[in-house]
Amino acid sequence: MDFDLSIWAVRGPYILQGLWLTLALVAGVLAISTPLALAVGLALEARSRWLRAPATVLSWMVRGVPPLIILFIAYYVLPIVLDLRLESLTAAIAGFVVYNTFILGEVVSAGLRAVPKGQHEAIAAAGLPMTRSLRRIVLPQAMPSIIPPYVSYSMDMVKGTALAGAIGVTELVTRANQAIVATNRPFEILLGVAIIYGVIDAMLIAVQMWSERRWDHQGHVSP
Amino acid sequence: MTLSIRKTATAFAAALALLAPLGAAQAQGIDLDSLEVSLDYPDPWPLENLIEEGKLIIATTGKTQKETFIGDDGTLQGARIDLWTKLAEDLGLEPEFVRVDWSGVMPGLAANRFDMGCEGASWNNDRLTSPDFFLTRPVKVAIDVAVVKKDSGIESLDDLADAKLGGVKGEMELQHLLSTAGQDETDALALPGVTEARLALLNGQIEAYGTGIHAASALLDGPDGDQFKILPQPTAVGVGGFCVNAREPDLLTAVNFLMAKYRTDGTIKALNEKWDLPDTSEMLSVVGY
Repeated sequence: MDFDLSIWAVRGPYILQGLWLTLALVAGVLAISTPLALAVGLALEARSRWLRAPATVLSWMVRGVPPLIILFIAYYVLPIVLDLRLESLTAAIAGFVVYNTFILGEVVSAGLRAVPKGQHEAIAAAGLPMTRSLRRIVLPQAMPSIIPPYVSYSMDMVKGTALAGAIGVTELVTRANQAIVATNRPFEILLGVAIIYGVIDAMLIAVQMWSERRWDHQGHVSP
Repeated sequence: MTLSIRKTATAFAAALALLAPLGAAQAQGIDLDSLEVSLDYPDPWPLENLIEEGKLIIATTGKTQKETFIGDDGTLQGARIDLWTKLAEDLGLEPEFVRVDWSGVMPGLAANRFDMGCEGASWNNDRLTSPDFFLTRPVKVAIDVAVVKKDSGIESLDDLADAKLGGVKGEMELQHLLSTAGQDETDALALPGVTEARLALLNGQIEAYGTGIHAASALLDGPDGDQFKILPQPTAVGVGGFCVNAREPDLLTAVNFLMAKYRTDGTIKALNEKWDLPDTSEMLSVVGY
């Protein structure tokens, strides 16, 4: 069996279009699920059990369901139950947002718990407004704990977007598979795709290291 | 008066008796082979239940060589793509192809996501009676075969009893191979697609791959194809059709009509020849189509 990387000269442009779709999917999902995750994280740590209990139950339920099932629900079940026909990409974004909101919500929750208890007590004693204390005191101290798992889950998400191919999103892996079928060149194509994922992950790790340094330089204490 | 009626009736009957042979002779005189059967149809065909007006949304895997696959220019190509494109154009519609895995085609029809799909789904009792989609009239004779490596020592279906079998999960071709070999589904290696099955066969993870004659011929034409062979006896012979959304009986009628037309005017045969696929369209007359 010969090994012929020149297949990328022919099929590369088509496969790389899937890369842009993968990146757009990741960016869209993170852009939506990050603020939602913050809300979930706060709800998980709320003093009110009326906020905490439903957030805990929902988080437990959603995180327990494989993301592929959530995608199938968004794409195949919603049209039947709600007469809602989302396009493939929209359904994928919706499904991944639901899943990642609760995954990242737990990350935020853990980060908030890492802030020393005395800080919360001081805020309560000073009577600072909640939003201001969050923005100025709690979140800056929680960020060093949040960033590493946040980036780690984002890396998982980049790779997890391959699941979207099951509902018609022609992202990177789907396009690679299609190219393999047409050319019968699995090894050359899979090697190239693995390198692309490796480069994306390396970039995310670089972002993680830069973020960690930034927060440390600002004088915030990592727990 | 009564007599007159009898006479008239007798004369009429006699005239008919004389004319009858003449009529038969005229009918027999027609050269049936030279007749052109009218296959006119409404243009545009009024379709009231399409998911999106003016569009024919078709689910395809895009993962079957020669039938539906991505070409070098990044577009969907193949015999089925050509056929569906012509079908949509003849119905006055714009074709829109949605690429999903085979396991998503039928759920998508049930969920009202696609107007039609299936590249040639084998008829079976479950599919014929499914409330979720219609099967069209046959578009091909589905000849299921077993592909093995030439050096495997497997020469016939009788040698498969203890062999490790595999195929694409959910496909009837794998089921037929298993039942032919007398094996249980749990013993088989169910793979996600044709490529994986080919690699599994090449790597010795399976000893026989159950598939259709179209996919098998594409396998033999591809790289390392000289290492494979198709066992001479088929594992099953049936028919396969397209699937149509169960909410669209008018589309089913239209597709059935056009498929009859395409078979009659040689469109299907020409497309199979264009893409170098075994043509079974003329065999469909065996089952009355």
